Amino acid sequence: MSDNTSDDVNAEVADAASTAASATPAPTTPAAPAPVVAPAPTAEPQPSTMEISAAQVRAQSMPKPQGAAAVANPPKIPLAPMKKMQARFNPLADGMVYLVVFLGGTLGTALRYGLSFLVPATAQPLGFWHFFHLPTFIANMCACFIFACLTSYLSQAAWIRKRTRQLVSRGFGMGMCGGFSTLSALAIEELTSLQTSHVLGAVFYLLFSFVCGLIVAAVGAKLGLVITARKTARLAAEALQRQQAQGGSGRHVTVGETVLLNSPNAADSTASTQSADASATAAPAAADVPSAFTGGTPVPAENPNDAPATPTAAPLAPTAPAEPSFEPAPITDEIPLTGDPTTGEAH
Amino acid sequence: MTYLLVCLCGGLGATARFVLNTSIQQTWKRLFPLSTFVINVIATFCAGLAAAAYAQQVVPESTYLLFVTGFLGGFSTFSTAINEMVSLFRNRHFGMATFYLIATIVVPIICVTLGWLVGSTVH
Repeated sequence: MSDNTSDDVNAEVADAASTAASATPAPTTPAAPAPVVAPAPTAEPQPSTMEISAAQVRAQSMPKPQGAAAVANPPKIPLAPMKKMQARFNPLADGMVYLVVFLGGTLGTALRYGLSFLVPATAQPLGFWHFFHLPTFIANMCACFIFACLTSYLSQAAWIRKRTRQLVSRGFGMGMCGGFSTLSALAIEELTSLQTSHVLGAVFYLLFSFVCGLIVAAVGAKLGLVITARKTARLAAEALQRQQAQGGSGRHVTVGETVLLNSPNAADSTASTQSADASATAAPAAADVPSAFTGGTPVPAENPNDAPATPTAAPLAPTAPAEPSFEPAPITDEIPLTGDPTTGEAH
Repeated sequence: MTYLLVCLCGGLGATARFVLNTSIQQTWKRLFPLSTFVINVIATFCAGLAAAAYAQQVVPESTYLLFVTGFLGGFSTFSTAINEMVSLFRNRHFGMATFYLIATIVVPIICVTLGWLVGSTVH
């Protein structure tokens, strides 16, 4: 929306506020908001600065170390003996991870050992390529690609549960790919090549393995990131569509934000002057109007959780019409699960 | 039957790698991926020993197959090392990545030779 139309919207807000002021017998200062709202077109509040970013929320909600824990090298307190036995404190006490790593290692070794039967042991029976061991090479390249793809995918896939990601990463990444690829067989092959003094073929095989492995792993990591980026974009688009289908303005309600609710008489006066389109932009613009008239600006209820809160506020409005009817955002209630593409917090 | 045993030994090797990897990572907090490096050094040294023992007919082929192809194959890892290099490169730690790459190429060869020499002299 251009500046002209937003100025019009602010003028409409001012009009609506003044009509609401004349309509309701407010005991508090009725003309107070006029100088606040009037300079709004010149000093329009930035919607980006009005909202609390997720980083700010995290910084405020995370506990800061104090006292002895705030020094550069805080004292290390060893875990209690019983806590050392629990999986969530000690990864070495996680029996499930042992199981998936064992199964993955078995599968990887089966693949590698089976590959040595399917593929001829060397590329050529004689000469330079005799020391190019195909089964080990193929196994290493495949493992590098799968491992890179899997780790980069799982590091970004916020829509999978953390425990599932951990087990898949351990089982398929560390277990299967680690068992599939091998450095010891490569070293033994190098040793036998060097003992028969075929230095050139041995060095070529070694360097070729590492260079190809690096390229393949880089491609795999890139592929995993591309897949997750697509999926994240699709999830974000779906979340936005769902939000707009619910009639919201697409604005998140974050911790500490105050959600303003409609009082019925002010809503009547503003309903005639404001269109549905203007309400979306008027909401952040009027957020700093400090007095009773903030109740008149129609902030759309984005959350379905806010909807049951409106009837509770409505009976209060006739008894005290001048009071601003706002409630803090119900941060303890369940907030609809929408994946946030900027922070990845979907749960 | 041998096939199944080799696979199970690979699973054991992977589990041993998990234990060693986690233990080293709990104490080592630097950038250099010491755990994978140590694992590969141990695995290649043992591979050299085993190759020497097999070459001098101390152990039968089945034992060699179980230990080297199974256990050491599952214990040592090429893919993790390569991916640590790639992630070091991607995070612009070029010096560390190059150092780790050269170390991972050179040191296993030295280790397998050492293991071979030790195994030959002991016999």
